[in-house]
Amino acid sequence: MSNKLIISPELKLIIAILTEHVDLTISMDLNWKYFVELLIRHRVIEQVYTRLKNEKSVPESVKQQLDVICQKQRLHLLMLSGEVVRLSRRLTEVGVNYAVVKGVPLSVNAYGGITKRHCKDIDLWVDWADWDKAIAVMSSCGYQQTRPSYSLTGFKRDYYLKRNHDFEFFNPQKNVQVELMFRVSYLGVDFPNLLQIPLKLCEINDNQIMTLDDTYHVLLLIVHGAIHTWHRLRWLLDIYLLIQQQKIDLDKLLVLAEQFECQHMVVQCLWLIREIFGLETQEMQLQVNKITSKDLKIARLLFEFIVADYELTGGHGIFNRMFYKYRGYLMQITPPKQRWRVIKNDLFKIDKIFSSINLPRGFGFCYYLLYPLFVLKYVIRRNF
Amino acid sequence: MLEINPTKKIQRIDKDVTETEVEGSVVLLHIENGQYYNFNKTGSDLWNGLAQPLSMNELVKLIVDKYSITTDDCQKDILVWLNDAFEHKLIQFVD
Repeated sequence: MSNKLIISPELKLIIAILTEHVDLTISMDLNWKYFVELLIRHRVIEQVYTRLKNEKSVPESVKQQLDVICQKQRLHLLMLSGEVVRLSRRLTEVGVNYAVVKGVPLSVNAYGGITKRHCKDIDLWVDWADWDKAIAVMSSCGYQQTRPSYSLTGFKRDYYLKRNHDFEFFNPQKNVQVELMFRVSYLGVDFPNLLQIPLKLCEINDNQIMTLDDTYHVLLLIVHGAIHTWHRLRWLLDIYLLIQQQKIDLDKLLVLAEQFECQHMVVQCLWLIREIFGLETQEMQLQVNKITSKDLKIARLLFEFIVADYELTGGHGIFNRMFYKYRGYLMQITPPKQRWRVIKNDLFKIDKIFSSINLPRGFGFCYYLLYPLFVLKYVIRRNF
Repeated sequence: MLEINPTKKIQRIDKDVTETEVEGSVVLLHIENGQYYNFNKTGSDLWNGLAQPLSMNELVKLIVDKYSITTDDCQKDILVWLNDAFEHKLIQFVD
């Protein structure tokens, strides 16, 4: 690992466990509170606790804390996977084309079980042509729409559908959140229509659900990880495990990435996996060795995001230096033609005022004029 | 209570549940009714055993061999467990 990249002993231990190092050296000086905070932030409690629960050098109080979190998590994942199956059945019954992405099928594919990978919600991609039918299924299954929280008509509808790719639903009885996507588009990386993407079956207890073909799924994971600066190790761990289990055809992935103009994200991801998890296959080596100085610079910045404490110290609001670093990063990974779109969407998140302001037809542009006042209100209300 | 032929094979209905392990015991979720079922150690053994078709007699043998319990007591307990499981549509008779 490069000398300039510093990792805390707590994070080093987590990485050693995730990469299944046989001999674990557990220092007596570890800050266990920080260790648990890191596990929560990186969403890898299950993997780490499974390994640590029989280690005598880990304080009992830490084990108990992790045990409680793991049990709660497993029950929630059980409910999520049940809902994935139930929703898939209903969608199939009404002839809706769908794919479950990330979450449960990824857990089964990369981790070998439905409760082995933490996830908070269900990501369901349906074709736009089936949108109304899918909404009806969500409603009949007890889900209420939570985002957008305002009714979509006129300007608001046009704005929302152009800039967003999903609706959010929540089932209060089951405590399950679903993101229903009608397209996948991140930072100028636009995935094709669902009907043009090869799908595959994933088996959950004698039930078969549809998910994306591995190459498309991995590319989606990489773009998603990149947009979030890979700041949860779990996202990188997903790719690491899939490479380790030889479930990724790197050549096919790079061809697809080239088509979507996001090869740089793939190469940065491979570099991070090599630097953090120490994995380098022959195929990976070929790509990582070709990394450009620009991509290397970005990958190093990503490394900083992964090891940074910003999420533990108040998020990345506009008063946090990480906020500006993050914006700078987004500009660097966005294709030049899309940058203006990203800046505009980031500076004017006018949908934040849609729920409180209703302008008459033809006055949609006024949302842009009112938005700075909303930002000013936010700044004034904040205590310095 | 349901009459159960001790030689008739029974199997769990996997397609209607998802399962995990908590503290060494099986926890099920019924997909359609959203209800959790938390089995104790013996219940977990029975559930795991029923991954393959087994008769009640075979289930009794499975438990008697593992725990120090008399066959009579075991039969009574298993009958209660099987009745509950049938009632909640977790298991079914197979040919």
